Amino acid sequence: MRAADYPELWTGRMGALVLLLVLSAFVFLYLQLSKRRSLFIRKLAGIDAVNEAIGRATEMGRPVAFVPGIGGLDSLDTMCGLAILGEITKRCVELNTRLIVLNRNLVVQAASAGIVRDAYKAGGKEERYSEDIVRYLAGDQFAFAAGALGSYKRDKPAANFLFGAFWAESLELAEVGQDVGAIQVAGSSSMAQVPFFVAACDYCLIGEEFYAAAAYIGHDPVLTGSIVGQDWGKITAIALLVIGIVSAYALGTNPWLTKLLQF
Amino acid sequence: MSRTASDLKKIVPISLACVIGVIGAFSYFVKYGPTDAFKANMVTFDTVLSLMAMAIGIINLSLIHGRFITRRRKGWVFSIILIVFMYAAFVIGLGATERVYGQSFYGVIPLGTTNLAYFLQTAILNPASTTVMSLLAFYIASAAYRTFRIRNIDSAILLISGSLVLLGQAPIGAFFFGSGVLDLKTWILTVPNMAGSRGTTIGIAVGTVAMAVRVLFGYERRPTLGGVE
Repeated sequence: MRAADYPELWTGRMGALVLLLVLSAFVFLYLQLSKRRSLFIRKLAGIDAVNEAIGRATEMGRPVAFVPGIGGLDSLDTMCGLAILGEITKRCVELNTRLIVLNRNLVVQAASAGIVRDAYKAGGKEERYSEDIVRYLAGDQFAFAAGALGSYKRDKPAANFLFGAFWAESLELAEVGQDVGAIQVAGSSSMAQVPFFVAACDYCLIGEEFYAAAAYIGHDPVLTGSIVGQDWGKITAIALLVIGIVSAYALGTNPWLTKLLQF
Repeated sequence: MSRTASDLKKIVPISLACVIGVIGAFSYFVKYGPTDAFKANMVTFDTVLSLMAMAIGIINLSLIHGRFITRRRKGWVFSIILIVFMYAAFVIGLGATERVYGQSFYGVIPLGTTNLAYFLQTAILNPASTTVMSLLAFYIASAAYRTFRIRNIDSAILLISGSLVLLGQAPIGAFFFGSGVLDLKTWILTVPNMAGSRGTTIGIAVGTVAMAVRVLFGYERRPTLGGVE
């Protein structure tokens, strides 16, 4: 099938489509494999710190704060943040630790309330769930930030988790969290916000670590498979980079790999 | 709830997400009229659904804070303020004749407007937001102080490279140290910084694919179904 024969179909993204299918195949393959046998994944310091921080909050009798970002449910970062919220809530329910979830988006508020309520129910402590655990602060970005900072100052959380889509308010949240003495773990795919989190938080999940966090925290054997698949995706990307660099040096002005990926 | 109804509650949203997600992805890679039209319709449908979800959110919030007020829970006065202002903004917004939301913070403000919604946005909300945003300057300073303290070799490298970039960005750097500091700043930003940044971006792309596969094919149920198993 030649591109010239079907100009109405061609967008020049077929190479990217093939790459996407290869990455998806890796993820699928390991999701299936993980159902049959346990897979090894390396430890991440930031993930271990999540359990450590919840334990510390329990010992100190102070709450755990969680912000699932300020994006909507259409953001993959928010989805990832909510998946992590489920695991953190389960741990808080086990340890009887008070949890505070701060929201900017009305739809995310409803989704996170559902997740937290379900975790309390699954832990057999539904009677401990109250409507002021998951709080809606404001729709405006900085009105939300002001509300969250006030909440940190009043409730003095011993652990602060920031997982989701963040913009300029990220540093304000992390700095005030630091000011009240919370252990802070953050994660976002926004390259502009990660440096702020690295500067102000104790641990920061960077890049694909953030997407793998929920599976790590929950020790979910099936989801663990997707992390191994993810690693194979990275190996493929690295292999392509190496082949591209070597061929660029060897062949000079013939970027055949670029052309191949853009056919 | 019967077993069948419970199963349907799980299967239907995942199946819908899967079919629409795959068609949406397909139309990005291949130009094909029917799928492009389907995707365009879904985008419109998404906007409508988001607005409906917002309405549900408003009702949900009113119910929660209504209960707080009737039960005189701690901070119930703030619940009254929230409900009053939320509905007041809604009613005032209905009469808005200017396009208030979505305009630039620093856009030209037409003089002589008497519209109340426009006034609330430009005279109260925007200055208040900008004030909270401006706190960032102080937080950047305190975060930079903690980050730049030399504790190990990593923080020493961070301090040196950060200082060089700062000197390169500020006019005073070139004034004192000549154009060499500009070249050094450019090299730091375009070589080691860019390499690290691209590595992270590739990692994010791979992680996004894995997360999308988990969500679209129902392996990651929490964000879509609220289920903690």
